[in-house]
Amino acid sequence: MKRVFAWAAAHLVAACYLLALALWALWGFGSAGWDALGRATGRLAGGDIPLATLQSQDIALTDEGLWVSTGADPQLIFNGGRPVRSVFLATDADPAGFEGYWAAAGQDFSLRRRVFGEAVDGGVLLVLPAAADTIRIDPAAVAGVVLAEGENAALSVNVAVPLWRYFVPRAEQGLALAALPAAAAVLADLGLFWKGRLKKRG
Amino acid sequence: MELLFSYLSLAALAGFAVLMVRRTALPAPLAPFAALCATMLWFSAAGMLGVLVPAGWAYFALAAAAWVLSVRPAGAKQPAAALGAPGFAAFFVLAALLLAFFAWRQPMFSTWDEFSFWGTAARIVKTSGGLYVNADIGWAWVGTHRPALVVLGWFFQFFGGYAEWRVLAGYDILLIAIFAALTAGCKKGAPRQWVPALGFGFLLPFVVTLYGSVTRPTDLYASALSDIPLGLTFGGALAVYYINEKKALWPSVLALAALCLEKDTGFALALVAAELIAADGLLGLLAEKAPLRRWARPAAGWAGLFIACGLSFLSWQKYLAVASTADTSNVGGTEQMGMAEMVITGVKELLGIGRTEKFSTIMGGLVRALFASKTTMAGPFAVVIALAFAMAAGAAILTKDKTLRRQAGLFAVLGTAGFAAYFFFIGLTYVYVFRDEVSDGLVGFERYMYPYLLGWLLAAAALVLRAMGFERIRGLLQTGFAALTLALAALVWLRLPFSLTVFGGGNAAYAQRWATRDEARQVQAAVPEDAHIFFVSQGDDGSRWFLYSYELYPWYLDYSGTEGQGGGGTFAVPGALEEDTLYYHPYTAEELLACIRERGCDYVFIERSDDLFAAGYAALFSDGLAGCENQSAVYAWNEAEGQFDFVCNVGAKG
Repeated sequence: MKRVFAWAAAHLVAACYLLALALWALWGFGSAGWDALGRATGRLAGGDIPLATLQSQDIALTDEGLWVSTGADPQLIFNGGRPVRSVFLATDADPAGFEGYWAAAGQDFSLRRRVFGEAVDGGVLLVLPAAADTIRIDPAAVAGVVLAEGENAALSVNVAVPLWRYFVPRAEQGLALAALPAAAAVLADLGLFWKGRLKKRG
Repeated sequence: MELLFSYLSLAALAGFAVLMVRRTALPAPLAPFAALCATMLWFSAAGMLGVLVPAGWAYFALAAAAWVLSVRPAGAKQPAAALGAPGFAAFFVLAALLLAFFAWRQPMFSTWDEFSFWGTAARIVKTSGGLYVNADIGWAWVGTHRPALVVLGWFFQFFGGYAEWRVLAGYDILLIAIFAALTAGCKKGAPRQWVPALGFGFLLPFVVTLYGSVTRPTDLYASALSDIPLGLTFGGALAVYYINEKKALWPSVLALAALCLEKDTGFALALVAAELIAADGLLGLLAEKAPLRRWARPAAGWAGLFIACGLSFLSWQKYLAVASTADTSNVGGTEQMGMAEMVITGVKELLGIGRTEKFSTIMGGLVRALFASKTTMAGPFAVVIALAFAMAAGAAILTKDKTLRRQAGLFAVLGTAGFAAYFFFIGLTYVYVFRDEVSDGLVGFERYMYPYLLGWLLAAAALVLRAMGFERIRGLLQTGFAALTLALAALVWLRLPFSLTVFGGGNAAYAQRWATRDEARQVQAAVPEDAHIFFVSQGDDGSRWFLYSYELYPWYLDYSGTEGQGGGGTFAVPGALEEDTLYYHPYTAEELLACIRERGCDYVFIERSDDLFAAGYAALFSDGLAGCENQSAVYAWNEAEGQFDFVCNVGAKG
């Protein structure tokens, strides 16, 4: 153990990044386990939410039974009183256009709580970094995009997410992974430096 | 695959960087920047001589030789252990990570100037294997723009196909090399010094060039524009001088020569940097009371700095004079005067000789803007100026090394004077060069100031970092600089949501570009490569025309209309719109047809039609323009019928 600490003190930056990776792996497994537990206990109840029941903007159901964006800022808002971790929508629309925003109850939507859609088989998947009370999906940025087919089209919430996706950093997790270990190394080194300096004086 | 090919370029660069470290006394973290500057010079020169591609092969052959030479221990001036300097390793790790990230993220060009010059030039160079000055392209080409950054983007895609992310990565790798150079003064094994140094450099463009709370995606670190590389190369040239205890001049010579080939204004910055370095050396000799015979070598070095700037600057002028037909002597604009004449007239007016009202208004406005306009994240420019001065002064006060104190003190004073001179020079361009609508609103004023401020702060940071080795109160500078960097990081984090940067953004930022790229490919499939294409995009202000010129290259998009300026705009019969509507081309149907045919266009690409176009010109098209009602369409000339026939629809419906 002593040798490990000695190595870490001599290679603070590498040690901090390794530590961050280890913590990230733990976090990934932990989140996966916690979600699995949540689904088992009903806290993260899955289910289909018909689009017709959602609060929406710039989105209309046509006579042909197509859900189409009608303006430049289409939105679907789900405020269903249960925590949401992931959302799936069966669609042929371009997944690149999908963005999700999440908020706690009473919170506004913000660019700081934003995730991007990922293409999966048959549709788009949005995974939030943590369970949220309210989510808003911006599925496109122009009018005329067909978002879903059929009157009964629905969002699936809390769909099971493959294990590996828990290890893909979302939203600002990537920034944290890149920047925090470096900052920690600087602070640790400064701490060691001042400790040594003050000790010498005393 | 493209990623591996870009790694080959990085490996070749590494060969030269490693050789520089082994065979000279250059501190290792300065080597990547010096090697990149040499690379830009090599390829700029090769481009001007018309041997770009052979020079590329020679470069890679020489790089292989450099690797072999640097592995052999004989004649090494520095041990291989010198390569273990954290800044040197960090450069290659970060550059490799950035390339990998960009290969996955695939960032794209997004701004007007990238389509009207920087990106288009990069594409032309990759496609044609030569410089872009006389490229066959539809507009009055701004071939006077300089080549160093364009060939840098080309170097990172020497092997493999053209991709925008490879150009953008090339720019970023230059910036990373400059940030890495800052770490040259840092103690090994002291991340409290070198991590903040890298962080400070990385944060600088955010802090200086963005302001307010950012609510739109920013293209920082995914941009092929020149302002930021220009400013940081200027700062890098000073940093490699100040941070190197041996005060070697040759890395600065390389950097300044490259700077002069990045952009015209680089020459002004390079002269400021050369003066700062020469003044520093001069004062050093005076302070040492060095005998005259010891002056010869340093004086030759300073002269070398100015000669390198002059030669590099003039080489491009000379090349243009020989290779291009464009008139390059005057700086353009409303007054049609040369650069020297402009400065002389300006100084006269400053002293009150024949001062015009325009001069007073514009200069007054600029000075007010310095203190009042929110132009950086930290506040008005005055705040940044104060910070740069404070950093240099702080380094002077808090170091116990006498030489360094003199250097930093002199830099604090002359850096400020240099800023005043640069500021005045930019002011003059507003008075004499720009059109009135630009100069009245001081349009783009911030953009012209950014380069100096970036470079100034970077050089000031270099002095602070160097002073860390000789602190008067041990630990104070290191802690203070780390705290400053953390504070800047917090500022950037608060003002700029991560999802608006290239590092945290989604695909939505590029969705539009993918759409136009697909559309352009469909046009290319429908039109032979040697044909000229006439462009119609009703309501365009020129941006879509530039965009499609880029997307379609090497297919030739015509300037498309000369009445009321070409290159995008609205076609309508005379009288349909107010006469002075911007970009309004008043043509009768016969005139439009004559214009299209005279310009040799057999194809018309109607990107966006409207009622005005249909009302005026349906008779010219055999389908009465039915084909482009809901979608973009391509039409081809039918000589027998004397009309254009519908060929196909392109792009998405809507």
